[in-house]
Amino acid sequence: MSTIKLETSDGVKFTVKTQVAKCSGTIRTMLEDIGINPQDGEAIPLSNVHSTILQKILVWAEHHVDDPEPPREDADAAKRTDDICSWDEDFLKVDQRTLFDVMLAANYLDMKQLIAVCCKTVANMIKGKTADQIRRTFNIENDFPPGEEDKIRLRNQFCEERSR
Amino acid sequence: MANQTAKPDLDIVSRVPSKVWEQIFGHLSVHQLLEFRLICRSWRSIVDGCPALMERILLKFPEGFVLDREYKPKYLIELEKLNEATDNINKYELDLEEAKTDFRELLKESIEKIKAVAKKLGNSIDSAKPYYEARLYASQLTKETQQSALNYDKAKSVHAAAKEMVYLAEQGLGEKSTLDTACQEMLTHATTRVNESQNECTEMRNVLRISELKLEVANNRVAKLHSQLRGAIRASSLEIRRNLLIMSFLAYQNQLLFAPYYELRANYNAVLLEQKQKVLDLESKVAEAKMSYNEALTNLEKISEEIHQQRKARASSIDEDASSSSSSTNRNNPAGPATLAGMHLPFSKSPSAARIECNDEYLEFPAKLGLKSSPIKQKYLDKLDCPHLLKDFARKTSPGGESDSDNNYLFSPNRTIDDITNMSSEDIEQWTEIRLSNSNSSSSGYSQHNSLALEEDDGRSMPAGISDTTDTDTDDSHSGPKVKTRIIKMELYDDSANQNLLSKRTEGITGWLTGRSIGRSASISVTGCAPTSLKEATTSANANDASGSSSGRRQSLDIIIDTGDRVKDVFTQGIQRIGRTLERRNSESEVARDGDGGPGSDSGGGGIPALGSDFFLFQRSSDSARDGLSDEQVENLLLGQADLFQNVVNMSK
Repeated sequence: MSTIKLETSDGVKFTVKTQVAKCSGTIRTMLEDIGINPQDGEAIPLSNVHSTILQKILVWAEHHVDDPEPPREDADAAKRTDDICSWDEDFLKVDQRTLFDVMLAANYLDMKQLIAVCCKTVANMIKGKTADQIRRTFNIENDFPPGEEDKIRLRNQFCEERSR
Repeated sequence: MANQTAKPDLDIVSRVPSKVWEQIFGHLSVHQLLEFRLICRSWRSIVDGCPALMERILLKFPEGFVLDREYKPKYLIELEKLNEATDNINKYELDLEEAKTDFRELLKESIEKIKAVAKKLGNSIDSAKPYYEARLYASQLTKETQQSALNYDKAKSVHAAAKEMVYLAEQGLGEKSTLDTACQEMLTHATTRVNESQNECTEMRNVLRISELKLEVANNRVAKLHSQLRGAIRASSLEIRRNLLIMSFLAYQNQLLFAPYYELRANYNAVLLEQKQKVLDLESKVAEAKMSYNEALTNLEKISEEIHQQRKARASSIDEDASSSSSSTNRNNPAGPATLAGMHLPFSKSPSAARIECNDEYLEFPAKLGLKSSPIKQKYLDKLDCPHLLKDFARKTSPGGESDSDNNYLFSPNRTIDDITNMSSEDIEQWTEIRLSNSNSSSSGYSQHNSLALEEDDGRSMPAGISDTTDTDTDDSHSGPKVKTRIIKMELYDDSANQNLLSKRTEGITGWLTGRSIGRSASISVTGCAPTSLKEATTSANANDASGSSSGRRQSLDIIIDTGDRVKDVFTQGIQRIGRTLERRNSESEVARDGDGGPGSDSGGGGIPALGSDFFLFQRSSDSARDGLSDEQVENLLLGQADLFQNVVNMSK
């Protein structure tokens, strides 16, 4: 089984099975389209990913390497957030910082499944919270001028879920 | 982004690409999505920048919501127009009906009277008929002659102008003494014109002569008939007079003169014509009002269309449009903006009207404004249900509310009492205005009842809301009625129209009564006087009537004649004196008949004056006045025969 080397932003080199590495759309594109030869021993630089995060992602990829290609998700399925498998749930039981780092790295590596799971997790974190709570959760600064928030809030009353 | 270790404190929102956020948001409900827009600018721009998310948001009006400010005035104007138009329609239609009945009554009355008179007169009418017919013919001919005289004058002037031209052309030729073709052409042209105009002139002269001749014949006939049928005419004039006096009040009511048969008929025709004109006027007015009503309706439809479109447009760019305008209107919304849960309130409160298209809202406006589904009630219900929400809201919005209060507030039924307390003085001014209008409309019992009920409502809701200073309290208590005012206006326009009509009618009645009483007092003063003071009485009565119209004068004289039956001898002297004074007074403009004390007393002599071609017209008019039948009356008589009496026939059928 062929392996390739990946080099993270902090200079750590990982040797990964090609099949596992191909979970990442970015790496797959590099290998297939650009024609980087993995046998050269040259590591693929992943300048946006830290080694700790990449390690975590690789664990996920190993676990999900044999997953079948997911069916094209329709709109209704995309809305569900309670279909995360328990392994993933456990896997993502990390601090917020790591979760977002994983999500960002997955985004960078173009790992659709991982992104979806991360998104669902984050959505679950947000769900049922007020604006203030969300701000506190994610440490977001309220950058609206005074009064602006109330205006938007009032306007929100005119909005409704569009029935499909 | 490139190196997250270098910037560990960079906040998540900016690190996570918006595409990822969109995916996250895609998992959440729209209400949550709306909440995200409150969190910070970047989140709001993420939500707003994603068409997939935005298209999930449906913009709709919550129950009882009053439209955007920019549309409000427009549609209010149209509604006002609508109200006005309906008012007008009702008023005019009632007027029309009244006028029609008046007309019918008058017609009936006139038929009856004329019939009665005809019965009394018997043969006199038939015998006098040719005379009046001749009069008619003569008056017609007079007009024709006038016309042809005018034509003749015109032709003459044209002829003179053409002659002048010929002269000029000839002069030009003479000066140049050369054969100028242009000049020659001009000359020939002018000459032909001269000839033409000369022909025309002679033609016109002939016509004039013919018509003059005709007129002369007709006048001769009139004179002949007059002398022949003098007895009959006088009979139709005099004999009836006494009988007519019995009907004096009735006639006075209709401003008719005490006139003999033909005069009576002519006068009636005039009155009927007037009435008919009135009816026509009213009909056109009704049509106009209906037109404006329709226009207002179509305008409303158009506005609602516009709103639809605007709403669609706004769905895609809700953020861009001036937030102040809509936010100020949004502020009117009563229920629970403070919490997310509160957001459901306006929708869930009345499931029946969950999805009212705005068009429907217009169309159903009156129904919706009924007491049962009144948005005010709704408001108070909401208020009572969740006072804490409102309090929360009031607390939160008060700082922002001050800046908003500069905006022109709408009179929204949904405005909470808390809002009112935040209002600036400008708003309070408007409030007082509303109060005034309310007090106006509360003249009708219905609205009074309404305002009372609403005040009760206020009283109940006060503890739930806030208890502020007395000033705001008074304002608060009128927040309900204010809205009602409009509603009442819509629902009670019938009443107001009736009131208008009623006042109008009473006005007319009082005017009529005063007129009647004046007439009565005049007659009483004459009849009640002792013979010794009769002269004085007549002079005083005359003085009274001298200021009035000639008809009034004549009437008083008639009355005098009637009452003076016993004391006629004493009277004649007085009458003569009055006549003389009157003659002096009206020496130039007024016709002589007033002084003569009636047409019958006229000597009747005075044959037709010499028919000097230009003067006879005026002489004719004075001539006719002597017979108590002015040219106008003759015309009316003509009208009656042609037009109005057809109506009579129809009516009698």
